[in-house]
Amino acid sequence: MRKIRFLYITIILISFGCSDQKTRLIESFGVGRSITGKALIFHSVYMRYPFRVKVIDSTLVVMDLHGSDYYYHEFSYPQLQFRRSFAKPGIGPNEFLDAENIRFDKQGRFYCLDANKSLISVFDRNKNDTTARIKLSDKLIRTLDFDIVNDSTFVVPDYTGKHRFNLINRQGQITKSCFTIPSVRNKLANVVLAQAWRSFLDYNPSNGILAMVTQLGQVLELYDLKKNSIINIVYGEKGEPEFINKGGYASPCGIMGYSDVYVGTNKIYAVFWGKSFRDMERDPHLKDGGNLLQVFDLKGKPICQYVLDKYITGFTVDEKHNKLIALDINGNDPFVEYQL
Amino acid sequence: MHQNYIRIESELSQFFYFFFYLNALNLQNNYLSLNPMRKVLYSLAVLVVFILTFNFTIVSKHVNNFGSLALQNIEALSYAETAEPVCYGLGSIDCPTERTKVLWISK
Repeated sequence: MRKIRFLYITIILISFGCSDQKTRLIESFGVGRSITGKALIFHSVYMRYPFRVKVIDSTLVVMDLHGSDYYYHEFSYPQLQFRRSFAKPGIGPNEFLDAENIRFDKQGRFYCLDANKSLISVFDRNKNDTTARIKLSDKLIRTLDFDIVNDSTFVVPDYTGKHRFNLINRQGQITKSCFTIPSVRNKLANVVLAQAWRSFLDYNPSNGILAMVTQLGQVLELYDLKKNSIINIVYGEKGEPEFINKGGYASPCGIMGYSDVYVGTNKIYAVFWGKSFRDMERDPHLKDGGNLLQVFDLKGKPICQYVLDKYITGFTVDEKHNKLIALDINGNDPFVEYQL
Repeated sequence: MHQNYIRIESELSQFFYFFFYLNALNLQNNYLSLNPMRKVLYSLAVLVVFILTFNFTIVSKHVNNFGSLALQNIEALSYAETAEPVCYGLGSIDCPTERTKVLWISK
Protein backbone atom coordinates (compact mmCIF):
# COMPACT_ATOMS: atom_id res chain seq x y z
CA MET A 1 0.00 0.00 0.00
CA ARG A 2 2.81 2.36 0.97
CA LYS A 3 4.66 1.48 -2.21
CA ILE A 4 1.63 2.33 -4.34
CA ARG A 5 1.12 5.60 -2.52
CA PHE A 6 4.75 6.52 -2.94
CA LEU A 7 4.62 5.66 -6.64
CA TYR A 8 1.46 7.72 -7.07
CA ILE A 9 3.02 10.78 -5.45
CA THR A 10 6.20 10.39 -7.49
CA ILE A 11 4.33 10.18 -10.80
CA ILE A 12 2.21 13.23 -9.99
CA LEU A 13 5.28 15.23 -8.94
CA ILE A 14 7.11 14.36 -12.13
CA SER A 15 4.11 15.08 -14.34
CA PHE A 16 3.58 18.55 -12.83
CA GLY A 17 7.24 19.42 -12.59
CA CYS A 18 8.07 18.51 -16.16
CA SER A 19 4.90 19.62 -17.96
CA ASP A 20 5.83 21.22 -21.27
CA GLN A 21 4.56 24.23 -23.16
CA LYS A 22 2.16 23.70 -26.04
CA THR A 23 4.98 23.50 -28.52
CA ARG A 24 6.48 20.71 -30.51
CA LEU A 25 8.67 19.94 -33.43
CA ILE A 26 6.91 19.18 -36.65
CA GLU A 27 6.71 15.51 -37.47
CA SER A 28 8.01 14.45 -40.83
CA PHE A 29 5.57 14.63 -43.70
CA GLY A 30 7.32 11.68 -45.28
CA VAL A 31 7.52 11.45 -49.05
CA GLY A 32 5.44 14.16 -50.66
CA ARG A 33 2.82 13.41 -53.25
CA SER A 34 3.65 15.00 -56.62
CA ILE A 35 0.80 16.71 -58.41
CA THR A 36 0.64 18.49 -61.73
CA GLY A 37 -1.19 21.75 -62.20
CA LYS A 38 -3.28 23.01 -65.05
CA ALA A 39 -2.59 26.57 -66.21
CA LEU A 40 -5.75 28.62 -66.53
CA ILE A 41 -5.44 30.75 -69.62
CA PHE A 42 -6.48 34.39 -69.64
CA HIS A 43 -5.03 37.33 -71.55
CA SER A 44 -6.69 40.43 -70.24
CA VAL A 45 -4.46 41.74 -67.46
CA TYR A 46 -0.73 42.05 -66.99
CA MET A 47 0.46 41.38 -63.45
CA ARG A 48 3.99 41.88 -62.20
CA TYR A 49 3.89 39.93 -58.94
CA PRO A 50 0.53 38.25 -58.20
CA PHE A 51 0.71 37.40 -54.53
CA ARG A 52 -2.78 36.86 -53.13
CA VAL A 53 -5.87 35.24 -54.59
CA LYS A 54 -9.28 35.03 -52.93
CA VAL A 55 -12.55 33.54 -54.09
CA ILE A 56 -16.04 34.34 -52.88
CA ASP A 57 -19.07 32.88 -54.65
CA SER A 58 -18.56 33.62 -58.35
CA THR A 59 -15.87 36.26 -57.82
CA LEU A 60 -12.11 35.85 -57.82
CA VAL A 61 -9.80 38.71 -56.86
CA VAL A 62 -6.04 38.74 -57.37
CA MET A 63 -3.67 41.10 -55.61
CA ASP A 64 -0.59 42.24 -57.51
CA LEU A 65 2.05 43.05 -54.89
CA HIS A 66 3.96 45.26 -57.32
CA GLY A 67 1.05 46.45 -59.42
CA SER A 68 1.97 49.24 -61.79
CA ASP A 69 -1.54 50.39 -62.79
CA TYR A 70 -3.74 48.75 -60.18
CA TYR A 71 -3.16 46.54 -57.19
CA TYR A 72 -6.31 44.39 -57.44
CA HIS A 73 -8.03 42.69 -60.35
CA GLU A 74 -11.46 41.12 -60.24
CA PHE A 75 -12.55 38.16 -62.38
CA SER A 76 -15.56 35.92 -62.63
CA TYR A 77 -15.04 32.45 -61.22
CA PRO A 78 -14.56 29.82 -62.56
CA GLN A 79 -14.70 31.36 -66.07
CA LEU A 80 -11.94 33.90 -65.29
CA GLN A 81 -13.54 36.65 -67.33
CA PHE A 82 -12.00 39.98 -66.42
CA ARG A 83 -14.39 42.39 -64.69
CA ARG A 84 -12.43 45.34 -63.38
CA SER A 85 -9.27 46.58 -61.68
CA PHE A 86 -9.20 48.81 -58.62
CA ALA A 87 -6.86 50.44 -56.05
CA LYS A 88 -4.59 52.63 -58.13
CA PRO A 89 -1.01 53.16 -56.91
CA GLY A 90 -0.16 56.74 -56.06
CA ILE A 91 0.12 59.33 -53.35
CA GLY A 92 -3.36 60.85 -53.78
CA PRO A 93 -6.02 60.53 -51.08
CA ASN A 94 -7.88 57.77 -52.93
CA GLU A 95 -4.76 56.03 -54.12
CA PHE A 96 -2.67 53.30 -52.55
CA LEU A 97 0.95 53.35 -51.43
CA ASP A 98 1.05 49.57 -51.30
CA ALA A 99 -1.11 46.47 -51.01
CA GLU A 100 -0.76 43.71 -48.45
CA ASN A 101 -3.90 41.59 -48.56
CA ILE A 102 -7.58 41.50 -49.41
CA ARG A 103 -10.50 40.03 -47.48
CA PHE A 104 -14.25 39.72 -48.00
CA ASP A 105 -17.04 40.16 -45.49
CA LYS A 106 -20.41 38.40 -45.48
CA GLN A 107 -21.93 41.11 -47.64
CA GLY A 108 -19.22 40.56 -50.25
CA ARG A 109 -17.43 43.87 -49.66
CA PHE A 110 -13.68 43.94 -50.27
CA TYR A 111 -11.28 45.07 -47.53
CA CYS A 112 -7.82 46.09 -48.72
CA LEU A 113 -4.87 46.80 -46.46
CA ASP A 114 -2.34 49.51 -47.28
CA ALA A 115 0.49 49.15 -44.74
CA ASN A 116 2.30 52.30 -45.79
CA LYS A 117 -0.81 54.37 -45.14
CA SER A 118 -1.89 52.27 -42.11
CA LEU A 119 -5.29 52.06 -43.70
CA ILE A 120 -7.92 49.44 -44.49
CA SER A 121 -10.08 50.57 -47.40
CA VAL A 122 -13.51 49.09 -48.03
CA PHE A 123 -14.86 48.64 -51.56
CA ASP A 124 -18.45 47.79 -52.35
CA ARG A 125 -19.04 45.38 -55.16
CA ASN A 126 -19.19 47.13 -58.53
CA LYS A 127 -17.80 50.40 -57.16
CA ASN A 128 -14.27 51.46 -57.92
CA ASP A 129 -13.99 54.03 -55.14
CA THR A 130 -13.66 53.24 -51.48
CA THR A 131 -16.87 53.44 -49.48
CA ALA A 132 -15.22 53.44 -46.07
CA ARG A 133 -11.78 53.76 -44.56
CA ILE A 134 -10.42 52.39 -41.33
CA LYS A 135 -7.36 54.23 -40.09
CA LEU A 136 -5.30 51.92 -37.92
CA SER A 137 -4.29 53.00 -34.42
CA ASP A 138 -1.03 54.92 -33.99
CA LYS A 139 -0.05 52.29 -31.45
CA LEU A 140 0.37 49.76 -34.26
CA ILE A 141 3.64 49.77 -36.17
CA ARG A 142 3.49 48.60 -39.75
CA THR A 143 0.62 46.15 -39.93
CA LEU A 144 1.40 43.77 -42.79
CA ASP A 145 -1.60 41.45 -42.76
CA PHE A 146 -5.11 41.26 -41.37
CA ASP A 147 -8.30 39.24 -41.37
CA ILE A 148 -11.92 39.80 -40.44
CA VAL A 149 -12.93 38.14 -37.16
CA ASN A 150 -16.55 39.30 -37.08
CA ASP A 151 -18.69 42.31 -38.02
CA SER A 152 -16.90 44.55 -35.54
CA THR A 153 -13.41 43.12 -35.20
CA PHE A 154 -10.24 42.59 -37.23
CA VAL A 155 -7.13 40.65 -36.27
CA VAL A 156 -3.81 42.32 -37.10
CA PRO A 157 -0.16 41.60 -36.36
CA ASP A 158 2.33 44.45 -36.18
CA TYR A 159 5.98 45.35 -35.64
CA THR A 160 5.90 46.55 -32.03
CA GLY A 161 6.88 43.04 -30.96
CA LYS A 162 5.03 43.38 -27.68
CA HIS A 163 2.23 41.02 -28.65
CA ARG A 164 1.73 38.37 -31.28
CA PHE A 165 -1.40 39.98 -32.68
CA ASN A 166 -4.06 42.52 -31.78
CA LEU A 167 -7.79 42.68 -32.15
CA ILE A 168 -9.00 46.04 -33.42
CA ASN A 169 -12.46 47.51 -33.84
CA ARG A 170 -14.05 49.24 -36.84
CA GLN A 171 -12.45 52.52 -35.76
CA GLY A 172 -9.01 50.91 -35.98
CA GLN A 173 -8.46 51.06 -32.22
CA ILE A 174 -6.93 48.16 -30.32
CA THR A 175 -9.48 46.31 -28.22
CA LYS A 176 -7.26 43.45 -27.13
CA SER A 177 -3.62 42.41 -27.46
CA CYS A 178 -2.90 38.71 -27.44
CA PHE A 179 0.06 36.47 -26.63
CA THR A 180 3.74 37.10 -27.44
CA ILE A 181 6.08 36.06 -30.23
CA PRO A 182 6.80 32.38 -29.48
CA SER A 183 10.54 32.60 -30.00
CA VAL A 184 12.54 30.09 -28.01
CA ARG A 185 15.90 31.71 -28.78
CA ASN A 186 15.04 35.40 -28.39
CA LYS A 187 13.24 36.67 -25.34
CA LEU A 188 13.42 40.34 -26.30
CA ALA A 189 10.02 41.57 -27.39
CA ASN A 190 11.08 44.31 -29.77
CA VAL A 191 10.70 45.61 -33.32
CA VAL A 192 13.68 43.63 -34.65
CA LEU A 193 12.22 40.35 -33.46
CA ALA A 194 8.82 41.27 -34.87
CA GLN A 195 10.40 42.05 -38.25
CA ALA A 196 12.10 38.66 -38.31
CA TRP A 197 8.87 36.96 -37.24
CA ARG A 198 6.80 38.67 -39.94
CA SER A 199 3.96 36.21 -40.52
CA PHE A 200 1.03 35.67 -42.82
CA LEU A 201 -2.27 34.81 -41.24
CA ASP A 202 -5.70 33.41 -41.95
CA TYR A 203 -8.78 33.12 -39.78
CA ASN A 204 -11.79 30.87 -40.20
CA PRO A 205 -14.80 32.22 -38.30
CA SER A 206 -16.64 28.89 -38.48
CA ASN A 207 -14.12 27.08 -36.27
CA GLY A 208 -12.51 30.13 -34.63
CA ILE A 209 -8.99 29.13 -35.65
CA LEU A 210 -6.33 31.66 -36.50
CA ALA A 211 -3.24 30.30 -38.24
CA MET A 212 0.01 32.23 -38.61
CA VAL A 213 3.04 31.14 -40.62
CA THR A 214 6.46 32.76 -40.60
CA GLN A 215 7.93 34.09 -43.84
CA LEU A 216 11.54 33.68 -42.68
CA GLY A 217 11.31 30.41 -40.79
CA GLN A 218 9.28 27.23 -40.48
CA VAL A 219 6.83 27.92 -37.69
CA LEU A 220 3.08 27.38 -37.76
CA GLU A 221 1.09 28.96 -34.94
CA LEU A 222 -2.50 28.02 -34.21
CA TYR A 223 -4.72 30.07 -31.93
CA ASP A 224 -8.33 29.62 -30.90
CA LEU A 225 -9.79 33.13 -30.93
CA LYS A 226 -13.12 31.97 -29.48
CA LYS A 227 -11.42 30.50 -26.40
CA ASN A 228 -8.50 32.97 -26.47
CA SER A 229 -5.99 30.13 -26.25
CA ILE A 230 -2.94 28.72 -28.00
CA ILE A 231 -3.78 25.48 -29.80
CA ASN A 232 -0.27 24.66 -30.92
CA ILE A 233 3.04 26.19 -31.94
CA VAL A 234 4.65 23.87 -34.47
CA TYR A 235 8.35 24.38 -35.14
CA GLY A 236 9.47 22.79 -38.38
CA GLU A 237 12.76 21.21 -39.27
CA LYS A 238 14.17 24.60 -40.39
CA GLY A 239 13.17 26.15 -37.08
CA GLU A 240 12.31 29.68 -36.17
CA PRO A 241 13.39 32.71 -38.23
CA GLU A 242 17.12 33.37 -38.24
CA PHE A 243 18.31 36.94 -38.42
CA ILE A 244 21.05 39.32 -37.47
CA ASN A 245 20.42 42.69 -35.93
CA LYS A 246 21.85 45.21 -38.33
CA GLY A 247 21.58 48.80 -37.21
CA GLY A 248 18.34 48.08 -35.41
CA TYR A 249 16.77 46.18 -38.30
CA ALA A 250 16.34 42.45 -38.78
CA SER A 251 18.42 41.15 -41.64
CA PRO A 252 17.31 37.58 -42.48
CA CYS A 253 20.00 34.92 -42.83
CA GLY A 254 18.10 31.65 -42.65
CA ILE A 255 15.47 30.58 -45.11
CA MET A 256 12.44 31.75 -47.02
CA GLY A 257 9.69 29.89 -45.22
CA TYR A 258 5.97 30.14 -45.79
CA SER A 259 4.25 32.65 -48.05
CA ASP A 260 0.56 31.92 -47.59
CA VAL A 261 -1.80 30.00 -45.32
CA TYR A 262 -5.43 28.96 -45.54
CA VAL A 263 -7.60 27.69 -42.67
CA GLY A 264 -10.25 25.37 -44.02
CA THR A 265 -13.12 23.62 -42.28
CA ASN A 266 -11.05 20.60 -41.26
CA LYS A 267 -7.56 21.26 -42.58
CA ILE A 268 -4.92 23.96 -42.69
CA TYR A 269 -2.92 24.49 -45.86
CA ALA A 270 0.38 26.39 -46.14
CA VAL A 271 2.80 26.88 -49.01
CA PHE A 272 6.44 26.42 -48.01
CA TRP A 273 9.49 27.64 -49.97
CA GLY A 274 12.33 26.16 -47.89
CA LYS A 275 15.10 27.95 -49.80
CA SER A 276 18.06 29.26 -47.89
CA PHE A 277 19.32 32.78 -48.54
CA ARG A 278 22.74 31.23 -49.15
CA ASP A 279 21.31 29.19 -52.05
CA MET A 280 19.52 32.25 -53.38
CA GLU A 281 22.81 34.15 -53.26
CA ARG A 282 24.59 31.39 -55.19
CA ASP A 283 21.89 31.02 -57.80
CA PRO A 284 19.98 34.25 -58.49
CA HIS A 285 17.86 32.45 -61.10
CA LEU A 286 16.08 30.29 -58.54
CA LYS A 287 12.34 30.41 -59.12
CA ASP A 288 10.31 32.68 -56.90
CA GLY A 289 7.79 30.80 -54.81
CA GLY A 290 7.41 27.48 -53.09
CA ASN A 291 6.48 24.09 -54.47
CA LEU A 292 5.55 22.40 -51.21
CA LEU A 293 1.96 22.52 -50.06
CA GLN A 294 1.82 21.32 -46.47
CA VAL A 295 -1.47 20.15 -45.02
CA PHE A 296 -2.13 20.01 -41.27
CA ASP A 297 -5.13 19.09 -39.19
CA LEU A 298 -6.72 21.72 -36.96
CA LYS A 299 -4.39 20.78 -34.08
CA GLY A 300 -1.28 21.31 -36.21
CA LYS A 301 -0.54 17.66 -36.85
CA PRO A 302 0.90 17.11 -40.34
CA ILE A 303 -1.41 15.20 -42.67
CA CYS A 304 0.39 15.24 -46.00
CA GLN A 305 2.63 17.26 -48.25
CA TYR A 306 2.06 17.89 -51.95
CA VAL A 307 5.01 18.55 -54.24
CA LEU A 308 3.75 20.94 -56.90
CA ASP A 309 5.19 21.08 -60.40
CA LYS A 310 5.21 24.88 -60.23
CA TYR A 311 6.48 27.38 -57.69
CA ILE A 312 3.64 29.39 -56.23
CA THR A 313 3.37 32.50 -54.08
CA GLY A 314 -0.25 32.64 -52.95
CA PHE A 315 -3.23 30.33 -53.16
CA THR A 316 -6.76 29.65 -52.09
CA VAL A 317 -8.57 26.36 -51.63
CA ASP A 318 -11.90 25.47 -53.18
CA GLU A 319 -12.92 23.00 -50.50
CA LYS A 320 -16.16 22.08 -52.23
CA HIS A 321 -14.33 20.78 -55.30
CA ASN A 322 -11.10 19.95 -53.46
CA LYS A 323 -9.08 22.23 -55.71
CA LEU A 324 -6.13 24.50 -55.15
CA ILE A 325 -6.06 27.76 -57.09
CA ALA A 326 -2.50 29.05 -57.02
CA LEU A 327 -0.43 31.92 -58.35
CA ASP A 328 2.75 31.32 -60.32
CA ILE A 329 4.83 34.41 -61.03
CA ASN A 330 7.52 32.60 -63.00
CA GLY A 331 5.58 32.01 -66.20
CA ASN A 332 3.15 33.82 -68.46
CA ASP A 333 0.08 32.16 -66.98
CA PRO A 334 -0.26 33.21 -63.36
CA PHE A 335 -3.29 31.03 -62.50
CA VAL A 336 -2.64 27.36 -61.86
CA GLU A 337 -5.21 24.87 -60.70
CA TYR A 338 -4.43 21.66 -58.85
CA GLN A 339 -6.77 18.82 -58.01
CA LEU A 340 -5.96 17.75 -54.45
CA MET B 1 0.81 35.23 -22.82
CA HIS B 2 3.58 32.84 -23.62
CA GLN B 3 6.02 33.90 -20.89
CA ASN B 4 3.29 34.18 -18.30
CA TYR B 5 2.19 30.70 -19.25
CA ILE B 6 5.57 29.30 -18.18
CA ARG B 7 5.49 31.32 -14.98
CA ILE B 8 2.06 30.03 -14.04
CA GLU B 9 3.26 26.48 -14.56
CA SER B 10 6.27 26.98 -12.33
CA GLU B 11 4.09 28.49 -9.63
CA LEU B 12 1.70 25.60 -9.96
CA SER B 13 4.51 23.13 -9.49
CA GLN B 14 5.62 25.00 -6.36
CA PHE B 15 2.13 24.80 -5.01
CA PHE B 16 2.08 21.06 -5.52
CA TYR B 17 5.44 20.72 -3.81
CA PHE B 18 4.03 22.37 -0.75
CA PHE B 19 0.94 20.21 -0.89
CA PHE B 20 2.88 16.98 -1.22
CA TYR B 21 5.36 18.02 1.40
CA LEU B 22 2.48 18.27 3.84
CA ASN B 23 1.28 14.87 2.69
CA ALA B 24 4.73 13.49 3.26
CA LEU B 25 4.60 14.72 6.87
CA ASN B 26 1.39 12.79 7.38
CA LEU B 27 3.09 9.69 6.08
CA GLN B 28 5.84 10.10 8.67
CA ASN B 29 4.59 7.25 10.86
CA ASN B 30 4.54 4.85 7.95
CA TYR B 31 7.97 5.97 6.93
CA LEU B 32 9.40 5.36 10.41
CA SER B 33 8.13 1.80 10.40
CA LEU B 34 10.18 0.89 7.31
CA ASN B 35 13.47 -1.00 7.61
CA PRO B 36 16.66 1.16 7.33
CA MET B 37 17.57 -0.03 3.81
CA ARG B 38 14.15 0.90 2.42
CA LYS B 39 14.27 4.20 4.27
CA VAL B 40 17.47 5.10 2.45
CA LEU B 41 16.08 3.98 -0.90
CA TYR B 42 12.82 5.92 -0.50
CA SER B 43 14.64 9.01 0.70
CA LEU B 44 16.98 8.89 -2.28
CA ALA B 45 14.11 8.44 -4.72
CA VAL B 46 12.20 11.41 -3.26
CA LEU B 47 15.36 13.51 -3.34
CA VAL B 48 15.98 12.73 -7.01
CA VAL B 49 12.40 13.61 -7.94
CA PHE B 50 12.64 16.89 -6.03
CA ILE B 51 15.93 17.84 -7.64
CA LEU B 52 14.64 17.08 -11.13
CA THR B 53 11.44 19.05 -10.77
CA PHE B 54 12.97 21.96 -8.84
CA ASN B 55 15.52 22.33 -11.58
CA PHE B 56 12.68 23.02 -14.03
CA THR B 57 11.20 25.64 -11.72
CA ILE B 58 14.46 27.48 -11.29
CA VAL B 59 15.19 27.53 -15.01
CA SER B 60 11.74 28.89 -15.80
CA LYS B 61 12.00 31.60 -13.18
CA HIS B 62 15.46 32.53 -14.30
CA VAL B 63 14.25 33.19 -17.84
CA ASN B 64 11.22 35.18 -16.84
CA ASN B 65 12.74 37.26 -14.10
CA PHE B 66 15.40 38.67 -16.38
CA GLY B 67 15.64 42.34 -15.44
CA SER B 68 14.61 44.92 -17.97
CA LEU B 69 17.96 46.70 -17.56
CA ALA B 70 19.80 43.48 -18.34
CA LEU B 71 17.63 43.00 -21.42
CA GLN B 72 18.32 46.54 -22.57
CA ASN B 73 22.04 46.01 -22.11
CA ILE B 74 21.99 42.84 -24.16
CA GLU B 75 19.96 44.61 -26.83
CA ALA B 76 22.45 47.47 -26.95
CA LEU B 77 25.37 45.06 -27.23
CA SER B 78 23.64 43.08 -29.94
CA TYR B 79 23.28 46.16 -32.17
CA ALA B 80 25.68 45.81 -35.01
CA GLU B 81 28.09 48.62 -35.65
CA THR B 82 27.56 48.36 -39.39
CA ALA B 83 25.14 50.46 -41.40
CA GLU B 84 21.51 49.66 -42.11
CA PRO B 85 20.71 46.66 -44.30
CA VAL B 86 20.42 47.15 -48.05
CA CYS B 87 17.45 45.74 -49.98
CA TYR B 88 17.58 44.33 -53.51
CA GLY B 89 15.22 43.16 -56.22
CA LEU B 90 11.50 42.63 -56.49
CA GLY B 91 10.01 40.16 -54.05
CA SER B 92 7.80 39.65 -51.03
CA ILE B 93 10.13 40.39 -48.10
CA ASP B 94 9.28 43.61 -46.33
CA CYS B 95 12.32 45.88 -46.55
CA PRO B 96 12.61 47.49 -43.11
CA THR B 97 14.33 50.63 -44.39
CA GLU B 98 12.50 51.38 -47.65
CA ARG B 99 8.96 50.16 -46.97
CA THR B 100 8.88 48.16 -50.18
CA LYS B 101 8.76 44.45 -50.92
CA VAL B 102 12.08 43.03 -52.02
CA LEU B 103 13.71 39.78 -53.00
CA TRP B 104 16.54 40.01 -50.61
CA ILE B 105 18.11 41.96 -47.75
CA SER B 106 21.89 42.14 -47.37
CA LYS B 107 23.47 40.59 -44.28
